[in-house]
Amino acid sequence: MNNLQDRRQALHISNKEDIITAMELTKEMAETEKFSATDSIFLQLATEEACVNAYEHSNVQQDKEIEVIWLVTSMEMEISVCQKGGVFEMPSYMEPNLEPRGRGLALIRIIMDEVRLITSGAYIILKMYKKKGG
Amino acid sequence: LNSAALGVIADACLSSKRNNKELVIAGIEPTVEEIFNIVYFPTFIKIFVETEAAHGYFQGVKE
Repeated sequence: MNNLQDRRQALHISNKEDIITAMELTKEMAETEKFSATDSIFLQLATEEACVNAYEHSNVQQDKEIEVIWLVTSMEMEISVCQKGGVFEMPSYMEPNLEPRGRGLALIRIIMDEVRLITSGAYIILKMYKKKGG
Repeated sequence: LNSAALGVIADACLSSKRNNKELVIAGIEPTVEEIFNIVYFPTFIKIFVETEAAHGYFQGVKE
């Protein structure tokens, strides 16, 4: 995203209440850039699932080192969730699941247009992209 | 509706089947229906957009 009108915002996640704040920020940015109501719901869901996953997998138990960064244009929203440690893999597809857990990351994979998992030193970054109406 | 809630519903569906009961989902909005479809819920639980359709289904099961 090299558009001069890109909006960048960041939030440090240190407790579960911050995850709600992250979802509210996603909603606010989606509304500002006129994403559809469905896109907005899916973006909030992806934000929540990515943050909860980072919160549960992060190695640091006391002071969670999780950062959410948004890059938004009128065409696309990019949400990055950066965590310290706690390796995980993105499932490549969704399959029927009767278990209580194990749907969050597969949901992200399907509702977002593109998902990348990047390892950088001790940090793991989950980058999620969604185009308007995509 | 997040993955945790989906897990609770899936678990409740299994519990109901163990007790010879049937749990269905009814009265949902299109976006929620889309999420249920993404996670393959229709493969193990009946989903009705309108609650009246669910009532009709159970009426038919009783008869």
